[in-house]
Amino acid sequence: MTMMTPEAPFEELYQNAPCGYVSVSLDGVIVRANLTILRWLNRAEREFVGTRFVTLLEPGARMFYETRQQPMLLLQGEVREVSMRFQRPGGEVLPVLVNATVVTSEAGEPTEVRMAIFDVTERHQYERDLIEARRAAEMSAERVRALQDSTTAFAAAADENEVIEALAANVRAAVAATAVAVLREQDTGALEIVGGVHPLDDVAPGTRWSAYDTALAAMEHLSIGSITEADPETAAAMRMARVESFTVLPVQNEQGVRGLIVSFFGRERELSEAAVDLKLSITKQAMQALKTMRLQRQLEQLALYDELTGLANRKLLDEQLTTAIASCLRDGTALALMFIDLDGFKAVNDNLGHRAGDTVLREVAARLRGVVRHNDLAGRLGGDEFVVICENVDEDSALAVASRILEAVRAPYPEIPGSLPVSASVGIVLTLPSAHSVPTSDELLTRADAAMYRSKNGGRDRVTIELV
Amino acid sequence: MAVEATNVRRRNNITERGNPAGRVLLLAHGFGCSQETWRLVVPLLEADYRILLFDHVGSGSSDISAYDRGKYDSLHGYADDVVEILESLDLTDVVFVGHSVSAMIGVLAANRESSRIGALVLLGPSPRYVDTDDYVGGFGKPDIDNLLDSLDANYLGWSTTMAPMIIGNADRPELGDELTDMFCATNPTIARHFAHVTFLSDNRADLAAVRVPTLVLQAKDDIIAPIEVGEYVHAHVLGSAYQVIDAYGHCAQLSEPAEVASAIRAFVP
Repeated sequence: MTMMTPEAPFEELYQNAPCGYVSVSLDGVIVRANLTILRWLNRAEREFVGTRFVTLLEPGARMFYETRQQPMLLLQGEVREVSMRFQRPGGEVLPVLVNATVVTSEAGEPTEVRMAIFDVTERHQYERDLIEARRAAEMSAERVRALQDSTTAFAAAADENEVIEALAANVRAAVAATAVAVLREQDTGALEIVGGVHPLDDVAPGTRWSAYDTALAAMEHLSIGSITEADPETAAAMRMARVESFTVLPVQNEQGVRGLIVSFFGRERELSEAAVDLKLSITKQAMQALKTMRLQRQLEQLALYDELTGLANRKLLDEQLTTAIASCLRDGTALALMFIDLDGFKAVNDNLGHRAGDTVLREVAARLRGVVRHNDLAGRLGGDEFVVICENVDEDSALAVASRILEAVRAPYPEIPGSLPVSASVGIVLTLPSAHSVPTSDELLTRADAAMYRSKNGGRDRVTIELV
Repeated sequence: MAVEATNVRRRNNITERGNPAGRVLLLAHGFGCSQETWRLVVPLLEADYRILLFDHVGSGSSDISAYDRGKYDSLHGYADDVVEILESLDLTDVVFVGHSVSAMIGVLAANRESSRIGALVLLGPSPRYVDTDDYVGGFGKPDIDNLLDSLDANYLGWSTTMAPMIIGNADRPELGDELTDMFCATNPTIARHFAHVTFLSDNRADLAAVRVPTLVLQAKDDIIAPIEVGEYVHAHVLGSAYQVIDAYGHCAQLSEPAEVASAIRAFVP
């Protein structure tokens, strides 16, 4: 306890106040300080007064003071409850809160800055904990948001391209990259850019960057942290593209197809483990979305193709026939629909069983595929009934296809004895659709079916053609 | 790329002062500030120059919704904006005056669009803050972490006390001068990111590419951009002028506005 002398009660209040007082000139030099702050900082008055105020702060606090607190003080005339950290001679830190006011002369000219300084050591640890907790909460919230955003984007994607673009966009947002590119390894080993933006490729198209091979060889996340870490070719492109660093994340899907997610940065960056992990999580989501799309496509395939023979099924034939009618109408070309019914198939089934029957159906399908023209579509309606759609034909070429079919189906089947011959009865309807008469696909099928019956009734293994 | 002028104006809160017939000065603020930082300099120049002020996206009264973390993860994103500002207003031969980190943003913009930027005034520039084996920037990596701690400690109560200022305070006049409020209103997440980008960038290699007349304005005593750093910038920008002004601290435009204004006048009469 300090004794108060009656002569200088206010001086005493000032010197031993429960907070520190410091007066600083407009040049930032300490001109006066009370005993409290000298005690707290363990300094003698003679080494304290005359010192630049900012040099008493630890470096980080110094940067914030110069770039933020000092300009605010000069603009506002005061700052309240700003947080600073003093450095004691031993290196120990004193956390404080400061109120500061710019003192002005009667003419309104600023003369000096006065500061009241409060020791907040006690609550400092609590604040540190609070800040740490808040940072952790923000980080996990950001991570959750990034994953939610990408889940939403992948779910909304209509096709593979949209998934890949969404992957690039979401990785870019998650790691604050200037640009993100997605590359896929082709069967040839070449890397194709399948989505996003690739600034290095923009300045040197088609280059195979050595970092990609390094990443693919190790199948591990790779960081080119600065231009000086890159090989000369990459470094030159980085300079031109204003890329200061980039990271490469190699991935591989269940089919063994490999890809790269490349993040480009406009400054030297090293990603934290958490950021790499987030990038990987988003990429895995995208791969899952792509896998789901592939499965869906397979299901669609199943729904459109005959399981036994692999030929188009009735659904696909209907669709294609409708499309073919429209395009022949548009192009003014003729369309042939062939209806094929096997002769002797029932005998094979009855005598040798369904397994042998299936073998014949599969073999017939293969032979049909072999003899139709490149753009013709062969399909199976069911049982031993097949159909071929031929666009852009005339009577001669339609008959030529049909006679190849007869010959092919008639040829012997290795697993079937010669006593059970198989042949084809074919009915063709050839039509030149015009604006006056556009046939429906049902009409064409009915007519081709009827023509086939005439072949059947006429002795089998022959062709009947009807011109409409 | 076509730039919508009104969008850029709103995005960067472009304001205009001074003499419409005068040469254009584009004044750019540094980290921690807004265009308010030029408040004391503008009156000293407005009689003779056409003065354009703006806020970087994420600072002051800029459009925060335009803050794309990927774009603003490097100074190139900010330089893109400067070029867009000049293009949208179709300005040429502009004098770009950049304080602190904006000095480097100006260098990047001028290296890209030297037809639009006719001269550079770099006030307290630093091409790299973190020391390397052969370069003294003035700070170590731990100091940057420390700065972020300081930043967080100062924004501890941000969400509750600062949010009302951002959404307007018509019914709370006690919050004081609106412009000053905007100066204070900094989103801590963006401030943290801007601090990273400012203090962890390395633009030393860009100095040699500068081809426009350049003035390096160095405060006598600045711990953020020490005199050695100013000399380094001067030495690496070909043919640059170098002037040390009698100012203390990093914000000479606030502590010694008259010195700053007369240096600009002398450089671009």
